[in-house]
Amino acid sequence: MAIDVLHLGHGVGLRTSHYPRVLDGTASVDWFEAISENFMVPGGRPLTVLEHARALAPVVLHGVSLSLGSVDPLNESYLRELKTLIQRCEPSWVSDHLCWGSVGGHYAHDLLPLPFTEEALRHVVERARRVQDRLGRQILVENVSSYLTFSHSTMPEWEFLSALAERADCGILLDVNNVYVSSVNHGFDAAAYVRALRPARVGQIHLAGHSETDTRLIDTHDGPVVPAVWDLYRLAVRCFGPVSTLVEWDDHVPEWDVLCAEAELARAVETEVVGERRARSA
Amino acid sequence: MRALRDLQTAFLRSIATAPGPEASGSFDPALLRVVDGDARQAPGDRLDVYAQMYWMRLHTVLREDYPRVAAMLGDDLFSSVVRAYLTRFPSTHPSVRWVGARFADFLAQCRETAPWPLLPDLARLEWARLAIFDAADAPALRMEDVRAIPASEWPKVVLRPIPALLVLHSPWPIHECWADADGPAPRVRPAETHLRIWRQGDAVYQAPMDPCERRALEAVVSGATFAATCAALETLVGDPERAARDAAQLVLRWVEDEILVRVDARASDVTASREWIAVPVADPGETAKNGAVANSSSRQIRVRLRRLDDRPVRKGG
Repeated sequence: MAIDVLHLGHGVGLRTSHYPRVLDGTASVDWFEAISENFMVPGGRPLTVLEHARALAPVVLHGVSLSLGSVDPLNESYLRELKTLIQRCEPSWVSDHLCWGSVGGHYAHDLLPLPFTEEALRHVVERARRVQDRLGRQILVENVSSYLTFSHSTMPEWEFLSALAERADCGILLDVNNVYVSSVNHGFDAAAYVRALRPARVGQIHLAGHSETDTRLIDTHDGPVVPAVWDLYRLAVRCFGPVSTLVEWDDHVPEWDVLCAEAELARAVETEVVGERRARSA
Repeated sequence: MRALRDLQTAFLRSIATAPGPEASGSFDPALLRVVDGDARQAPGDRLDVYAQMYWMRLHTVLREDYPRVAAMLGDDLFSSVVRAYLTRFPSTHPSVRWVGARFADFLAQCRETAPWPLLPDLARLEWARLAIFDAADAPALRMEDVRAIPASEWPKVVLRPIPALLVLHSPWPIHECWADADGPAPRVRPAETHLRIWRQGDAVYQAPMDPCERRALEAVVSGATFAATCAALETLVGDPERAARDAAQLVLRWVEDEILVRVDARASDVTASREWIAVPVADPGETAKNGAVANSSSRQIRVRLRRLDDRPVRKGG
């Protein structure tokens, strides 16, 4: 079993500061990733922008509120709205996060960490299956940056994510920056994380910048990708081959050309690594 | 604390009870016992990252949704009010878009903001503008559509507002406060205010309505025929001919602002029997000139009076 998605190339997140370029048709890029919730609205400018983006390049939907790991019941009205949006914009795929975000109907609007236990795994697998049933399609699940771990976890995150993908038959959106941030925060081997994933499950890669404090890294998406994350991306391409890759930049969003240059860097890295692989296997 | 439900309940309660330096005082000790710590960071330090992000994120959202309220209150008071609001009304919607849905109602009950009695209505205006920004689209009635309606049809024409239109009433001139609210609280006197707020293209507009426009728009919103709208205005202005002319002028203004769609009534729905009808007639030259930026109500609007048999008659005849 595998995740069946296309290789779309190297894209960027659809963010408001670049809406004018999308509307005037000058936002040239391989593909866009749109935050689902920003477009789960009745009408107006967001949906106009989404239509224009679709006319320029393929679009995928990336959610932040599915709350796959929450003990709350799945939010059916959220799923209905998401399905409506999917029907409207026909994304190449749909993704969300390996996390929880609400309990008792109270939403934190954050990507909160799960303990990596068999109980949590069973729970997330069951919910991922139900979400896929409701949406009538496979989803990709992304690893999040985390700032704490639980002492009763019984497996590493990569084992949890791999098992989720196999048991729920979903894909993995591997956020290479999140792997790096969490590896520094918790002292694990980021390369071991990447090597542990089955290539056939990895449908997309995220790249982003982060911030550093005295004691930890924070996943802020407010700057360029750092060299250590580029190295990890190289390893990912070595392990998985070419995978659709997206640059996330959410705060202090730069000019369009700077953003696209980051996506072009990812393309260059991929081309270089794929070339090396071919040379080795020749 | 190992069970997922217990863990999530304790986690969210811990991070969402108090912001800033007070946050750690609310951390559940049983939760902290299952959070890993190390030499660099104790379990509480790690949990605190989530607590600080929770408050900062939602504070930022509310500041973006209510910039005028935030400016009027100033940083410290706004932060204090946001904290109280999020404690009283935690977010219950998956999308952060709805975090501020009850902010205006909360402000109406908030003791800290009592010195600003207009604040709840200013918040309602800011929220209404957000609602209009992404309200459903609908093809608006255009001037050529209006011209194509035969005069004999006008009594039974039903014009409905686009979804991206809201009417807001306040005892305060909140549109003036909205325009001025980048500084300290303006000295505002109460003034009965009726605003219509609408979207034209991607832009959100607002305009105060005089009693005639208010009465006519209420009729339109309620699904009245054009004849019934004229009748509603007649109760205000007394004179049927003037009511008809005013109604027609208003229709033209609303068409300029792109806030109308047409829904035809069945003939049996037309209950008002009227001798006079004012046919809205836009000057074709004006329409062509202003079509792209038809947001001004100052434009010259002509109205032709006709009897219902569609024969032209003398004005005021």
